[in-house]
Amino acid sequence: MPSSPAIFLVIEDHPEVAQNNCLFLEKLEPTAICTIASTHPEALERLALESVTLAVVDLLVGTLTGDQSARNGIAFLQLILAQYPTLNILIYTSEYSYLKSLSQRISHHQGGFVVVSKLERRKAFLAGAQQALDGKLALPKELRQDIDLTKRELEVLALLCQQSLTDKAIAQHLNLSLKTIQNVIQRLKVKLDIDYFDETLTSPRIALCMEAVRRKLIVL
Amino acid sequence: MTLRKTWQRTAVWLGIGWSLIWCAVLSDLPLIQRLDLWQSDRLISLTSTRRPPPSIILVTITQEDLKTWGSANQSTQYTALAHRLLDAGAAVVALNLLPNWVQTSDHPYNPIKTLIQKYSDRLVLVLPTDRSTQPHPNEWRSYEYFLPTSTQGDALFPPQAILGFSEYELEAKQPQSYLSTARQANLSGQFTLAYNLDQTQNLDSAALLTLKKFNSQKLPLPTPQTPIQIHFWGATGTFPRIKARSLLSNSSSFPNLRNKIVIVGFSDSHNPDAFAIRSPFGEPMPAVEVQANLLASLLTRSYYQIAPVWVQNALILLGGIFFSQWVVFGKLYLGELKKYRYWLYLAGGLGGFTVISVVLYGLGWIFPLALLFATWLTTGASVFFSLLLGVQNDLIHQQQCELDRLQTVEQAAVISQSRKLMHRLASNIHDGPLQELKLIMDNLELLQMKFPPLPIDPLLDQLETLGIHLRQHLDQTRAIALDITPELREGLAHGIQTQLNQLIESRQLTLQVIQHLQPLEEPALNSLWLEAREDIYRLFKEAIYNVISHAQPPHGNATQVIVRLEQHNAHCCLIVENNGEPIDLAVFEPTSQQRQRGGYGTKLLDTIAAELPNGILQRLPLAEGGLRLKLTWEQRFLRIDA
Repeated sequence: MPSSPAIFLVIEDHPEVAQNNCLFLEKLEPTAICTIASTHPEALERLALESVTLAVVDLLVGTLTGDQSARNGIAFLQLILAQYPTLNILIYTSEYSYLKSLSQRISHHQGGFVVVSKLERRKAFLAGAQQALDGKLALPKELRQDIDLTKRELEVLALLCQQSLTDKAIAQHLNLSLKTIQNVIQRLKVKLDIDYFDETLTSPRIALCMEAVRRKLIVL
Repeated sequence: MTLRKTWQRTAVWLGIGWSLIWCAVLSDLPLIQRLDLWQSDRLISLTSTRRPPPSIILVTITQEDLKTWGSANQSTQYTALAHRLLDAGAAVVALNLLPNWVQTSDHPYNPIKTLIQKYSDRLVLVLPTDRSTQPHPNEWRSYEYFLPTSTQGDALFPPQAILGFSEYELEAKQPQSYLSTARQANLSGQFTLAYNLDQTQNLDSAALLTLKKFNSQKLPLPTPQTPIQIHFWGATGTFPRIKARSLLSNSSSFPNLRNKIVIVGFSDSHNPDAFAIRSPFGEPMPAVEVQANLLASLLTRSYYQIAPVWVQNALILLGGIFFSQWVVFGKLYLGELKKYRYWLYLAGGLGGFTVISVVLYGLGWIFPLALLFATWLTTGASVFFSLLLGVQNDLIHQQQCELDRLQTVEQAAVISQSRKLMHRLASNIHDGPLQELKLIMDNLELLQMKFPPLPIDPLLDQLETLGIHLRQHLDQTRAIALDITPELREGLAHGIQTQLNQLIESRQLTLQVIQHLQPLEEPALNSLWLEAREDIYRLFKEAIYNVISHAQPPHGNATQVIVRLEQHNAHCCLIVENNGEPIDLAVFEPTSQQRQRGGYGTKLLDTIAAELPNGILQRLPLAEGGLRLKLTWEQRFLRIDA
């Protein structure tokens, strides 16, 4: 039985930019169906109707005044974070600082959640979309202040740092897939702000554990 | 309504203040004093229809008599006259002696001394003096030479048993006030002897002493401590008078003098020794007749007294307050002027005063009406003009406030409109050119994907940088256009504190931070201050970023940054100071690169400072290294009530 094609939902009020979003997403997944919603109600309707694989969200949608539209965008995002906890979300916007107020919710989102600035090139857009599809978390530095760790992330952190288990061993210990554990560790790197470290100079695992100790998340 | 209530309260104080001022000024005004004297004299005229008491008789001596007697025989003749009067049954004889007798009295034979020794209980020597209520006791003339002494030289009688004073001052010839000695008399006073100024002696007035001797075994006599107003029974000649010449001529028709009071003195008003005054009836009146009037006043208890000063002042103040309230009420409630009730208040007030005056007059008290009415009228007029000026001033002040308010509201509206325009502009740029730029970048990237050899990357880099810069400018524009920065809602000090904490926590600021942040007194509802606060906060952020960029390692060698916010009265000061190596001020000048990065340059910081009240921005290189950025301003922002 052939698997159903991925559905990408682009929430963007600028029609040409929305079309370009779809155009570039096609390069990532040529068989995917890209749907455009120019308003939040339309997007909610789509989300209710279809099993969306990836939602590309522009926060500044809705009204002419930016502040108002950001407020609407945040409210919309808050709603879909609550209603679709496993939805892969790519925030593709030119102003993502408004997301600070949603840090707590983002940290507990189970699906992929990636933020990419609209001012960056499409390479970053495509990389972000792929990360989101992989269920990863990728946030700019300024959004990481109030990020919480989930219970599972704390468990993985303890096994990783206190018992020095490998990813595979952790997966076995927790009875989870290896990919899930790798995603959790990737999220931990993002949340503890060490994903920018040069891995050739510092072992990311050591950096992760040192940061966790510094923040008193674990005791060695 | 508030204005009226305020003015009605103020009217009380205005009434009191103006009354006191006008009372002090008018009481010394000759016109007012003459008016009061006129009032006093008119009252005397109205009540002088009664006949004087018959028990007082005047015996008059003229200048011609003195010439006839000759200077050597004057005292002998005088003594003979007294003898005859006493022998004829006169109860008391009051003798007005000639002043020049003082020089001739110290003679081995002084007939008057003998007379007094014999009739001490029926004789009174009248002692002419100045007003007895002076700050210092009066010195009396040397009339004690007439007082009999024993062979050892001791006085046989105390002076106060024989001597009675009669006040007289030159102004009495043309009295200007009801307080003149021509109208007012003291009944007792203190005097000193000419040869012993330290010894004071209490004497009765001649009238009272005469009355005491006349009335010694009868009813108690009136002894008021305050001066009394002499009741004049009529013009000169009202009292029966007998010429001394006729008495000495042994004529058969000797008048009945039994149980009479006889006052002997000089009747010639032009003779200075007669001590004549101007009577209430307009003609000169010799002292002997004034004494008769005073004696009759006491004898019949028909004298008056001026109301005590405190009563007068109390009435003046009460009347002043009443008139003040009445005037203010009429001015503030113009409709009341046409109502009879308003005028009834005035009639009631004046009627009440009239009733009080009449009652007190019946009890022997006189009010100087001219001073009272003049004070009240001038007080009413003064309050009226004060009210006019005050209301005018209030209106001008209100208009000025309204103008200021409108100006400020207009300014605030312009600012608000500018903000909206900025916001709209920012939104338009975001929705239009920025999206277009994105599409161009998309097209270039698609082109690059199709034709990888094309050197499009540098072009894309430039466009990306351009997009980022445009975005930063839009962010700043939006930040300016936003109402209030959230961290500033609890005040400038809190905003700076929050910003510092964020920088420290994000490890952007790694220097030791020494904070002295005093919360300012901020007008929370003043939009001008809210605007200014945003600017000051922006200036602070720029200053602290400058420290991070230029003084903090690895860019500089500073170890600490001091942030100080202070307020002394209206004077406020914000200091950002680091201890790094001396910095060339040129680094703060906006370079083209800085402009591209969207940071605020020196010019904008100076503009922010210049737009603050008395705002001054100083960059002070410190001797020990580092730089102090100091912003000072006055915390004076016009309030917007709209």
